[in-house]
Amino acid sequence: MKKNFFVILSLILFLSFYFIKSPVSYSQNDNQCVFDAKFKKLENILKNPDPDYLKQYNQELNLRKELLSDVLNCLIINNSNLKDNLDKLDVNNSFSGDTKNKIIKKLDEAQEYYEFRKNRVNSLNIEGLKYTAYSLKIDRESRFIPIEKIAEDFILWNKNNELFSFAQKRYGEINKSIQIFKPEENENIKNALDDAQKKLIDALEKHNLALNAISDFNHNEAKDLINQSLEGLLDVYKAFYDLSQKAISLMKLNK
Amino acid sequence: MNIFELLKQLNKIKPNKNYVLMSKEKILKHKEQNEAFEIKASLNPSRLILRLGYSFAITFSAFIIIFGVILFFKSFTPKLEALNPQTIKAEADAIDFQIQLSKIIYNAKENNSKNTLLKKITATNTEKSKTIIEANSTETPTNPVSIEDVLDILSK
Repeated sequence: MKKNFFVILSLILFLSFYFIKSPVSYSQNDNQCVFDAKFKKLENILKNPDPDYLKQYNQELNLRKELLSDVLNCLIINNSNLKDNLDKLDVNNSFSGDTKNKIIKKLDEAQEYYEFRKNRVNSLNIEGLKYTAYSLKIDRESRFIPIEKIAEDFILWNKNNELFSFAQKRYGEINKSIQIFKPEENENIKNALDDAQKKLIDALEKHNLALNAISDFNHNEAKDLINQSLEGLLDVYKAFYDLSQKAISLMKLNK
Repeated sequence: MNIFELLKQLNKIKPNKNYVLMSKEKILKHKEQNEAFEIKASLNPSRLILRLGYSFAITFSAFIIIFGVILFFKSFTPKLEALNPQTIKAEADAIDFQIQLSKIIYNAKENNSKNTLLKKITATNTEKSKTIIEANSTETPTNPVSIEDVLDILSK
């Protein structure tokens, strides 16, 4: 009775440790980045100006300030979320760790830039607001959007990295198992095994090159290599499947 | 003298009565002493701990030997389950999922829905099917006015 109680208790403890994971929470920023109403209002004010110049000026000034503050708030939250997501990633080697830190540093620079602009909004006139919006647009296009894209590339790459680790482990196990069919004597099995290995090496090379491209902040190349490495990895699994089918048919023959 | 007669005489041999009593007393006394000593010794805490230690050591060694033997045979037995098509297919599905996800991210417009997507990748690694449904649903942006649109109008 006592023994049973302890067995059940240990089982409950084990299951609770296994299933209860630390909750990952993210701040909801969806409302922060909705600009539709104010955007339409500004469009309307600019298209149909009030005959009273002072009223028109004040309305436009306030609306521009609100809209620019909203944009900067949204950028700050998005940037901070992206940084949090990067921070949470586990990296398994020093090069990917260095790349991650490099991206985080750039995101920090972007954060400082957005904060600086945000703090100055209220002291600006319409011309100053126009100039700030314009320079923000130019700086985003040339500096910050590429960083965001690279950060996203790195998050994707890191997830792919797990899949590549699985594939390498799977290949090792398959290679071990397939030895009972003596691949050195069975050309069909040997070719299938070689094919899987070659495909895995090719896909891994593209995956590693993708990290180099990310580290160089080359989004276009990184994006292409990420896609190619994933397609390559899918081919590897097709080769694994082919190999398993060959092994199954051999087992049936030997029965 | 006949040998049979001699043997018959041997039958009549009996021990000295005093000697019998003395011996009996000695034997019984010794037994009593032994029993008392054993009970006393078994209640001795140091002996108890020692005995408990021995039993633990023996059990632990037995476990080590059993696990060692299992691991030894396991490492030399090829894992045929590595060739299980179902397992291979399940892992391939995970890659297919990732390909679709990367397509969604790279095809998504430059707006905040993109960031939401990435949050979901890192947040729910295990809930793959659930995530892809959510990711697909965010593909259609709910916010048609992007940051870039707002900055355009604010620059004019």
